[in-house]
Order: sequence, then structure tokens, then C-alpha cells
Amino acid sequence: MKIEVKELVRHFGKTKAVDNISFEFEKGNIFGFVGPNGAGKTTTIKIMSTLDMPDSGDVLFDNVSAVDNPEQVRRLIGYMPDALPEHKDIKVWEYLDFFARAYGVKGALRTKTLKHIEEFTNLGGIREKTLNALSKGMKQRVSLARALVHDPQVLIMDEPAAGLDPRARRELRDLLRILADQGKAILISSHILTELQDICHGTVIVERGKVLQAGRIDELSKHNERVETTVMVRFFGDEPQDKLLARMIQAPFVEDAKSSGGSRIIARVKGADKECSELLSSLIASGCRVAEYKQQEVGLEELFMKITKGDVQ
Amino acid sequence: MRLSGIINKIDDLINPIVVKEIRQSINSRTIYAIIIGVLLLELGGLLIFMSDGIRERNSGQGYFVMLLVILMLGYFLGVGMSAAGRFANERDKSSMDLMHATVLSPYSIIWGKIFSSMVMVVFIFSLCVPFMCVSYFLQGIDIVTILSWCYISFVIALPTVTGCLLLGTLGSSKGMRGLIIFVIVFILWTGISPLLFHYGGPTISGLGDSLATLIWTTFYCLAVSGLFYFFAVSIVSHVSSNRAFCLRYYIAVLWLASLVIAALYALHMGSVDPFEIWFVQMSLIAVVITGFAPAERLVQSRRVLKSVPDGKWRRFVHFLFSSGAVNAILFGVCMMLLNCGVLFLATTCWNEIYGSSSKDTSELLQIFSGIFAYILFYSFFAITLKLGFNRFFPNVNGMVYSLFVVGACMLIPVVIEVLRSFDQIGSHSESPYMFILSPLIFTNDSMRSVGMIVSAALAALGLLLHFSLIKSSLKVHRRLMPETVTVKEHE
Repeated sequence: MKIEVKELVRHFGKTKAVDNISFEFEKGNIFGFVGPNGAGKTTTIKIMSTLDMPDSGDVLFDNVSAVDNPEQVRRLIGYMPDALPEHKDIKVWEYLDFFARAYGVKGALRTKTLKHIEEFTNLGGIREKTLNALSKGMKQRVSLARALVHDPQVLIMDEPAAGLDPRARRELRDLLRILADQGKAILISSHILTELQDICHGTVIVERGKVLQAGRIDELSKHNERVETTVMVRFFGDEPQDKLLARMIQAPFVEDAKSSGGSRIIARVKGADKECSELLSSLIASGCRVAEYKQQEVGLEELFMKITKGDVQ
Repeated sequence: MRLSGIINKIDDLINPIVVKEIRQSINSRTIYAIIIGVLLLELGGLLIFMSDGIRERNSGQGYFVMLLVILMLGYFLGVGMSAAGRFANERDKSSMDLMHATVLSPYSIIWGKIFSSMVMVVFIFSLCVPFMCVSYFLQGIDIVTILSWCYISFVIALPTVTGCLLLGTLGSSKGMRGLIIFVIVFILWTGISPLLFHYGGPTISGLGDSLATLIWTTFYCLAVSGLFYFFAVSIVSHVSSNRAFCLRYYIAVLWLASLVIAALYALHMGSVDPFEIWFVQMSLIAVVITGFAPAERLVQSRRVLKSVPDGKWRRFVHFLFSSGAVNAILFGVCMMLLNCGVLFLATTCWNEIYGSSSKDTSELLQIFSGIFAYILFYSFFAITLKLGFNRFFPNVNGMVYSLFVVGACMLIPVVIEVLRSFDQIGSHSESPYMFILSPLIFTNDSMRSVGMIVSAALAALGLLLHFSLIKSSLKVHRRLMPETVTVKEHE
């Protein structure tokens, strides 16, 4: 399954909410869709989910157009909106059963599928509870289960981790990894960039309705060479910390340094790999006994801050 | 095949919405409250009517009327409004998006809602039936009347429930619902008030025998329910689809079917009256279509344009049956022209054959073409507002402009008239300000003629103002080939 978003444009009055957005991703991949508020993420996701129409452009799911054949596309995608299910008079199993019926899953297959999904999302214990009696994390799991009832090949998720506690986030992350391993293509829009960084194979960064950069995180890192790197150095021996700190500040390329407890020092280095390696060499040459030297990886958050300007429409 | 297999097969055939709605009703406390409330009212009423002080020879009649009122309240408040409220909440929250993301069609969504509501209607009805039997034993009412009224009340439940669900499709915004009710009242008032003025009420004279009344009620309720159903379907349909098609197609079928029935009935009765009744109903529908036209999109969607057939006439028919503000207006105009043409032809032929003339027909033609001309102008005025304000308020639905214009046009003369009535208590002169509301509330011929001229001039002004929009809409309505998909919509 290949998903191609092609030159999407969507206006709301004078505002161009989506301005020629194009990107693509494939099965087995988790793709992050990030951008500040008002960047056009939800509009794009709604167009992809056939819930809105672009003014021009298209979204192709293995060459099936979401604009021309929305009914066909709906069988291929599982859509998980940012809003959680809130019905007060429907039980978890009834809710899932309804959506399974609505997607045309029939008879024994429906029973089997629902049982499997309840086990997968760990909903067995709460199946008799009404939706409004559930916690946010539980509702999110119900929402994920609902998106999976018809075994879609593509999952489109709008802010799935919003408002979840760390445990629920971790559980969601693990579930998404399993789904990607099963061969599903997953697109996640999220503000929690550290979450995305851990699971995403690639990302699309948007701002003011435009794609600023798209691709695998390592490729994006290469394109956006660092001007500054953070390194952690742990020294061996019992030299006093203030002395170590003074040495570090005097070392080449170091702009700033601070103690991080024990003999650990965190330094801000001007430059990238080359400068970091030269710093290490100079520390060793000056007689420092370096036990650990770690360069912080380029994070999605760092990339995001670098690429976007924080503009909103 | 084993029994469980057969049950599973039947289970799969049931509309998912029906299953969900009935499950929700079973889990809902409101439904239990309604059941207990209905039973208590029925029991209370029975005790009152059976008490020594009140019980007379005909107390069964009074009790039966009370049961009918309870039944109607149960249908409207218990079933209709609760289903509409639930639907409106689903529309406002993202639940409706989730339903649209499934493979359920808008037809099955609305049909499921109606069917599950009708199941509840049957349930409430079954609560009343034993008490209705008791009313027979209280005397004063015969079995045939009980059965006839049971049937009528049941048939009336269908348009009631469907109408409530139609309101539910508009979301739970109280302002919006209030405005809709306001406009419906306006349209009914402008349409029905002249009838009351000119005919003194019994417009369906001759349909008085009970079997004819039952048949007529059934047909009318089914026709109105169908209208509400397709209206609701078109509202919840996907924005890119030809949302209006089902509604216009249904209206066209209804137009033809009701015309045939009216013709047969006219021959049976030996009177031109059924044609007049038909004309009134169809003209009201044309008025509603034209009045709500600005709610539709100004630019046609890519999906619609891709389905345009070849050939000039086929393309024009497709245009009339496609979603779009101009399309709706032209559909309304064509329908109104046909209505007038059919009534004119029918009465002329009737006069030729039977040698009788009907003064009412020409009055009806004047009155309803006048109303239509007014509504046509309101519609064009609403489109002007929509075009002007859309860039400032892009999220405002076109229906709001329609409602605003119609609402303002109704309020202004009513307020003036109320103020005027304070000054001239006891005077029964007709207010010239009521022209704005409708040219047909005048009994005075010369005043009505002035009203007609004003309405025709306004309609012509509207057509002239938006002539270029009509022309460009017709021009754009050409088959769009897949490789040339570059239409930009700036609604």
C-alpha cells in the first residue's frame, strides 16, 4: 500500500488552510505529521479520511482516489480523530460491534474480529462499561479498537497521545509498533514530538498550510546540519568538579558548560561531528581521563524548532 | 441450516444504526422515564374518567381523546425529540464524522434512525392499546372510530418522527433550530393564510368520507415523510457528492404521482378541486426549494461535474438535478412554471368539457405565483449577502443568510403591523406594509394586484442582479474529464 498526498489545496474563505501539500509514505511505516497549531494538519487528515474535499489535488491510496472514490477508500483506512468517544448510553462492546457492522463485517467473522481486537487493545475487562465511565487512556484504546474493526491497511490518527499519562502513551506506542510490524501504514499527527521521535520512520513538517520538509528523520537531520551540539562528558578520577568545569569551558568549540552531578559535565559545542571529535581529542591531549563521551542525537523537537518559525494563520 | 445460522443471517441484514439506536434506548434512563410517565398518565386518566362524579354515558369518548393526546406527546416529545437530540449531539461531536468514515450510506443512516424511532413508536403505541380497549367499554365510542384513529395516529407518527430527525440533522444549535422553525412558520403562514382568507378553511371538501380521509391521510403522511427523509439525507451526505439529487428526484416523482392521483380524484369527484389542492401543495414545495437554495454551494463539486452527461438537454436536466444554489433556484422556477401550466391546462380543459368555470383557480394562480416571486427575490438577496460576506465569515452556512433574509422580511412587516394596530385599535383596514410579507393576504383585488406587480418586479430585479451567476453556472456545467481536474472553489 502506497499513500500519495498530491498537491492538496483547501481554502476557508480567504484563508488558505492547506497550500499545495504533497508527501507520500508506504506500508509498514509510521509517519509523523507535525506542525504548530493552525498549520493545516487536521484539514489534511480530514481530506485523507474522505471527510472533507480539497479545492484541488488528491490523495491516492494505491492509486485509488479519495476524491473520486471515497466509498472505496473508506474500506482501506481507519480514522482516529482527536475527539474521544463520549456516548453515555452505549457499552464498549456495543460501540465496537456497531462500527464492525457499519464497515460490513458480518456474522462469525465479526465476533472473531471483535474478540481479537479486544484482546489486542486489552479491552476485555471493560467491555461491559459505558463509554462515559472510562478514563481518557481507556477511551483512547476504544478509539484505536474502533479504527481497527475492519482491519484497515492505513491508520490515520489525529493527536492520539494528547492528554494521555506516560503509561498510556507508552502502551499506545507499543501497539502502534506492532501494527506497523503487521504491515499497516500509519500517519500520526501529534504535538508530542518526543513520542513521535521514538516510533516514527519519517516525518512531514508543515507550517501555514505548507510542507516545510518531509522524509526520514535521519535524512532530515542530514539536510539540517547542526550549528550547535550538546555533549555529555563523564570524567574518571576524583578531580574536583569546579576544576573539571573550568577545563571544559577552556576547551575548544565549547560555548557553555554545566555540571550534571558527580563527575558529569554537559557542554554546548559550537559545530557538529567534526568539532565534537576535536573537542574529545583536545580533552584527552590535555590529560583528562574521559570515561564516557556522548553526543546528543538530533531530535525531532530540535528539527521542528529549527525548521518552523512558529507562524500561525 | 441451524437455527443460530439463520438468526445470524437475519442479524446481518438489520441496519447497524437500528441495532445501535435500540441498544442505546434500552440503556437510556430517559426511555424508562417516558414509559413510566405514559403509563401513569393513562392510569390517572382512567381513574378520573371512571370516578363516579365524571362518569357519564359518553366518558369513553373523552378518555379516548386524552389517550390520543398522550400518544401524540409520546411520539413527538418521547420519541421524536429524544431521537433528534441524540442525532444533533452526534452531528455536533465528531461521532458523525466517524459514521461518515464508515461505508454506511447517508440513506441507511437516516433510514436506520427513522426505523429505530418507529420501533419505539410501536412500543409506546402498544402501551396505549389496552387503555384504548378500555375506552370502548366506557362507552361513547365505537370500534371503527377507535381503529381509524389508532391508524391515523400511527401514520402521523411517521412524518412527526422524520421531521424531528430532520431538525436533528441541523445540529444542536438552538439558534439555528429556532430560525428553522421560524421560517417553516413563515412559509406555512404565507401559504396557508391566503387559503384561509379565500376559502374559509374547508379546502378539502369532498374528501369527507372516512375511507377517503384515511387514504388521503396515509398518502399525505407518506409524501411528507419522504420529503423530510430525503431532505435529511441530502443534509448529511458528503460535501463532494450530488447531495440534492435524491431530494429533487423524489420531488419530481412525487409531483408526477400526486398529479395522477389528483387527476383520478378529480374525475371521480367531477370537480377541479383536487387539481387546486395539488397545485397548492406543489407550489409550497417549490417555494421551500427556492427559499433554501442559498444554503447550497455556489460552485459545483468536481465529483458532480464528472458525472455530467453529453447532449444539451440531458445536460440541462442534469443541471436541474445537481447540487448548487443556482441549480435549486432554476429547479424551483421550472417546477413553479409547470405547476401553473398544469393547473391552467386542467381548468381550461375542465371548462371545455364540463362547461363550468372556477374563479378560485385564477386567484390561486395569482396568489402562489406572487408568493413564489417574493421567495425568488429573497433567495437572490440571500445569495448577494452570501457572496458579500463569505470572505469575512467563511464558516457561516448559506442557510443562515436565507434564514436571516426570510426572518427579517417576516419580522419587519409584523412589527410594523403590531405597532400600527396600537394606533388604530378597532380599525380593520389592510396594512400596505404587509406587502413585504406576502402579496396574497389581501382580500381587496386592487391591493392584491399592486402586490403582484411589486413581487414580479422584485423577482425580475433578483434575476437581473444574478444573471451573470446563472449564466456562468450553466456554462461551467460541462463534463469534467479526470485529467483536467483543476477546479478551485473559493466558497
